[in-house]
Amino acid sequence: MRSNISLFTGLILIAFLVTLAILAPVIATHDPATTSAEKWLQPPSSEHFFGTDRLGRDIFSRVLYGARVSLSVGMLSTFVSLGIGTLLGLLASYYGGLVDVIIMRFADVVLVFPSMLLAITLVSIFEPALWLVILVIAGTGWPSIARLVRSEVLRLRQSDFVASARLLGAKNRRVVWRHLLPNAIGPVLVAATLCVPAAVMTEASLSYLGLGVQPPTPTWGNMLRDAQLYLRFAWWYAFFPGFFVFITVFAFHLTGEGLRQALGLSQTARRGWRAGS
Amino acid sequence: MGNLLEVKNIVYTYGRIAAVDGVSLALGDSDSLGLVGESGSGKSTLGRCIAGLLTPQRGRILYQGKLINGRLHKEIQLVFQDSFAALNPRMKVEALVEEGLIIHKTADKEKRRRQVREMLQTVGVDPALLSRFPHQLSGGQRQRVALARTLILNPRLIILDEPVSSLDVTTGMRLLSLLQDLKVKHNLVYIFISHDLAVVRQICSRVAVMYAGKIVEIGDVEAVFARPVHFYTKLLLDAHPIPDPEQRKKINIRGEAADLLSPPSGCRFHPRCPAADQRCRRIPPPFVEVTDNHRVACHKAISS
Repeated sequence: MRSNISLFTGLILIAFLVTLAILAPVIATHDPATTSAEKWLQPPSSEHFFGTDRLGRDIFSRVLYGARVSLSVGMLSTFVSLGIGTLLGLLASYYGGLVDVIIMRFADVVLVFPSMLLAITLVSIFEPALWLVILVIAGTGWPSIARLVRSEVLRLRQSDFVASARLLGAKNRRVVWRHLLPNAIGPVLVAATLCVPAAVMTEASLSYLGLGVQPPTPTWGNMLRDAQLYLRFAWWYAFFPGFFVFITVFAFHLTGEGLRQALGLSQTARRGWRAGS
Repeated sequence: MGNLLEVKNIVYTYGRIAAVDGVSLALGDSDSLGLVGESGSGKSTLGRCIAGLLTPQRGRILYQGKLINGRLHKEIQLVFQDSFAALNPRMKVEALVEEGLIIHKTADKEKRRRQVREMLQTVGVDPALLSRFPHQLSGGQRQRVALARTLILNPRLIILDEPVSSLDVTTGMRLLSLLQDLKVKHNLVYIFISHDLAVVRQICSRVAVMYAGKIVEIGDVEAVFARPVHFYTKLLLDAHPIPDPEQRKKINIRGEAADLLSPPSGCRFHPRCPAADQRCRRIPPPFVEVTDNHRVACHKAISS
């Protein structure tokens, strides 16, 4: 029962956020880039629901447009790391031996590398851009997926139903696609759901540091960066972007948790290993 | 008469544990072999070696005179003890039964569907269950689906690894009579792994008794059951309840199953055997022929 409630609430929240992002041009009351010299730092009102920023731009509209960046970075980078992680995890567990060692040690190296540091380095080499942010997050996020896929496949490979398929003459490709992947997908899906909020946070942090998506494109991260000087006298400036980061992270965590319970996975399955069967 | 299956002195070890330690047996065209012994005696491992799921470290397995060590053979199939674990939880009954046909590309879609339906009827599963998942079936239905899955490839030799031990008694009995029918109808040879002697007696013509990775007695079911020679076989038969208390004679056998990490010297059963002497403790007993087809690995078999 509880799992259904968290899954349900989480999914509703995500659907709500995605709708806001997609319909941003329709819902937004103002142009997110239009500045106004006389209306700067106004508190929330019926005209500016979330107030205005230091340049007189409408924060409500900017938050909506920011959602587009945050959510697409979060989801796209999760998608990419899911793809890379699943592929490498499968290869490692399936071929074992040297392939396994090479892939998993590489994954360890990536895993211990602070993603923020990597981002800072890469951004200083290339120009900061949206695709670079996605690439950095995906590039550091895949090892955890790969580990999970690997451990799931290693566990499933020992199962009777895989032996049974082999007895019928199933070759590797069939075993992987029909038997291993469909059964490994549950815990991986949960992990992927939990990757999204991490990616949203990373994007926000990078943008906050000025290394992410560059102004004038509004993102929650660079709005927070702008707001930090005005925290004491314009609470709304930082509050609304921050609140949306929170809601997004919360929604995906709720969904992941709900999914985990709905799929009947134990607490540890999330981390990649399960006791017994 | 050539042998359908010949197993010659195979050894399979898990790490330091020899689960199967030098087993030989031969199976004729119309034999069905019961493999009995307590948990850990190596019967399942032997079954998996024959099925080709495990490759024995030593010895040879011949099927129709051809060496098949560690190789799967379309005509040799295995039905697992736990039908729940043996069926992919994400596949429906139809896909499960159809899988062998798809792999071997034997027919087009239409013909496959028909074959699947016929096969389900053969094993007594209502075709209405075609789109059910394994967890939506009863234990008996699951085991029948597992059976249908292997039968669809027209196997010759089926290894049944305690197929009824997870079912309740009546369901198990019905599955057994189905197995008997199928054996005749499809000309099948079974290797029936079980610890239930009555079941082995019902299904099989021959029986092999395993203890601590070795076969200790092998022979025709009637002969072995009527005149067991090895003390371990006597123990097994004695452990099986006999309805008439007048007929019961207790043999006093103590101790626990042999430790496979350091198996007893000589005859592996000697620490528990009431008749063991110096020779049993030192020298592993050779196989001796008691009567036709009835062979025992026991020093006392000759002297008694």
